Amino acid sequence: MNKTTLKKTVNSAPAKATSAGVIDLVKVKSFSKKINDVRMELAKDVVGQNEIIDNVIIAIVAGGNVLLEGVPGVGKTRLVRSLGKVLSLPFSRIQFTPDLMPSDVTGTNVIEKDEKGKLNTKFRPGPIFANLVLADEINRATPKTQSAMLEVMQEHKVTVANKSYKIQEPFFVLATENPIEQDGTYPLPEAQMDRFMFKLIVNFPTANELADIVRMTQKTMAETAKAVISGAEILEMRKLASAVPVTKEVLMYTVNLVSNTHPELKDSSDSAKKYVKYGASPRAAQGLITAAKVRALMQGRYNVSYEDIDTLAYPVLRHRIKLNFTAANEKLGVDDVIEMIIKETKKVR
Amino acid sequence: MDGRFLKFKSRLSKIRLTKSVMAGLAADFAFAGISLLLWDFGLLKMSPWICACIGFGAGCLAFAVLFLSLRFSDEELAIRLDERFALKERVQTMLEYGGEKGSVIELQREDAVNSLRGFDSKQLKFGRMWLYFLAIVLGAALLAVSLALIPSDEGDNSNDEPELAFAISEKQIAQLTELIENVKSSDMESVYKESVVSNLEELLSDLKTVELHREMVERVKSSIFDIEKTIDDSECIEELYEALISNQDDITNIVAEYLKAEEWADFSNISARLSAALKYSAEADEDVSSETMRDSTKKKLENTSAYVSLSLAFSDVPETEALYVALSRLVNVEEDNEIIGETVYGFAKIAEKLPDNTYDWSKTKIQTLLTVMEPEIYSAMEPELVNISVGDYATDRLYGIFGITKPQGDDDSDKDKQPEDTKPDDERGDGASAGDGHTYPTNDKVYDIGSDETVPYGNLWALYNDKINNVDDEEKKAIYQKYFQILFNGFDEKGDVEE
Repeated sequence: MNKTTLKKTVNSAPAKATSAGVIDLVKVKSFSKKINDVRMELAKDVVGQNEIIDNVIIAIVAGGNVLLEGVPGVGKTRLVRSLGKVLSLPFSRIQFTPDLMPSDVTGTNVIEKDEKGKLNTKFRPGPIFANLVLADEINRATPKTQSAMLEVMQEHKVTVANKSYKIQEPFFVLATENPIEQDGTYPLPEAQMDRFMFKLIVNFPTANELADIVRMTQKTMAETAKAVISGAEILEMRKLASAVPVTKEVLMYTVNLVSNTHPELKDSSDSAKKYVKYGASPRAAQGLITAAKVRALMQGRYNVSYEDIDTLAYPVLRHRIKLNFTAANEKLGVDDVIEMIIKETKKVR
Repeated sequence: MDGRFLKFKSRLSKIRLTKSVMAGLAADFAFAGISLLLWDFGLLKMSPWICACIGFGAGCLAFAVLFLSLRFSDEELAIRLDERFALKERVQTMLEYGGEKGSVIELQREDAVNSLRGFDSKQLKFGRMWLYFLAIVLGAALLAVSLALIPSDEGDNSNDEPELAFAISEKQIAQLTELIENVKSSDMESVYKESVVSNLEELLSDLKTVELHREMVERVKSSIFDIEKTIDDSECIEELYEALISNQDDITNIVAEYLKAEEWADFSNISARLSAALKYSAEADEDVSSETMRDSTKKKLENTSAYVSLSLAFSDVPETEALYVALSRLVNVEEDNEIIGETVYGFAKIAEKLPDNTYDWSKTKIQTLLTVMEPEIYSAMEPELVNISVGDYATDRLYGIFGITKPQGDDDSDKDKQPEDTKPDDERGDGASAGDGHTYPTNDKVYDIGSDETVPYGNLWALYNDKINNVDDEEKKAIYQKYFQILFNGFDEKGDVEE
């Protein structure tokens, strides 16, 4: 895909304020306050991980899904559960195991006898039918089961026996995966990885954070976060964020950044040509702009800046770029390569 | 457009103008200084005011170039403000969405304006102004140095055109040139025409030559005077040629010094040996007959002329130099070469005629030879002298070309400054008196070398006028009038003194 097509794809997604309808100014100004409220509530149950929390909030407001990767015990599941409480959204957890079937996720038609004794087919929805879905250890499920998530993550609907069932908005999938255990796991296919807006690396807490965690959990393991925002409010915030303006220069910078991850393109960055096997899809550019708008609002700004794009480039691109053997040989991680590509893209800005 | 943004825009425009003016000043000083410096060292031949114009032109060009290159659009200013004050693209967004409406757009605009209010337009710095100041200082220093090196009127005049030794003006040169063209296009007989043109062109060339060899001239004059005197004092042919040969050393030495040719030095040694041999021959053998003496002298003279010819050929003197031409003519004379009634005899000619010549004849011919030779050498070597007495030279040439006699001056001649005239009167033109006082004007008053005073030249003009009016040929008359007009700058068609 060339830059022009990519630009069109990105441009077609968000609407400008002029065509978005009337937006309450009060709601605009209360955006930051609401986000802050969410942060504070989450902080009651989750120690540290401020950047992860912010990025998760961004993804939720932007309408994207998040893949959380981290070693066991760093609070991934706890975070998602607390988030469910704070957002006051129906929360569902799916523990992915190798024997999990697609119908265990999406639901299935069952035969039921009605009052009259007649046998009818009724669709019994699966755990996916929630507003907030925690897909725990998603990489443990078989590719068949993983593919069942594809439609729902992208289109927010489930098709069973040729019948589609819409999932109530807002809908988010927060998936977790353990990078340590590789035996018995199935790496997520590229198509599914592309459905996640962010991939966040949950790092091991710092010493102080760990001390706080231990202190806190000695008292109680219960999650005390309360609901501070509703699904409707999230949808309003999403609409508000879509009205945040983006200058042409920032838009082109985003497009160039994503294009520079493709080594096969003539004008691509040198780092991509050297270290990247496959570049990011156009969804990366869309996700960057959408998420950047939310981030700008969270920071009390009403425009997208280069800093927003640079900061969000890592969670947006790290799961969409495939590195080659040269990068592995030089022990370069994907974030290192993303940093190089950002630097090269900035030079020609 | 927000007022605060416009303030920044105004500030940037001021910076742009200031830098452009400073660059223009620096270029003005530098280029004016450089061109003036070149003028100081004589590498540029033009008026100093042109140097000022060059500087001004360079300054204007530098101003225009920088002014155009520093132009900026509102978008570029917005980018600069966002970067300078870390506004995170607020101003750029405000500018791009300036014409649109919407809650978020309006909030963004308000946010951008509030952000700009936190900064003063003066925080937009000039940037690298020290570079511009340094350029101006360096340019000014260069200009100051070049101005300081301008030579004063009393001191070094290396930039001035060397003062022409001739008093003839540009207008006169132009008129002489026109005269030459008129002669060329006239209906005069071709032989006559060619000779007149040749002499006029030679005169013009000489009049333009500027070489000051006063000392050299004096020595040549002195040598020629000595030769003439010796010839006059001689009583026999042997003494005659001995005088010529012995004095030849001085002449050749002078010429050699002038020409800087080593051959001439050798030639003078050979001449010394010749002289010694001649003396020895005369002293050793009293019985040597005149005939034998003549033959011997003849051979020696022939060798001499050949040697002179050879030396000329191998010297570094360009063939176009008048002296070279004169000396070549001296030794390689065509038998029938005539200049308006005068026959030039070189050494070879004399040598040929030797057995048949009498003493008197030889003496006359040598005197004639010297008479002709003298102005030829003067024409190449003494423009300075001609400057003093341009009329003398001119009239001599006129006499040689047109047969016009020299005017009678009112004052006595300065006999100390000029060699005694030993020319027999019958060899001169009518009225010519080389030793008489002369006043040779280029303006109303003329300078008389004899009395070292300026005197009216109207009297001279009257004499010339009479001579010209007696000329039969109208065309010749017109040419003479034109020639006088050029040289003396005052002769009109009616023969009256021109104001």
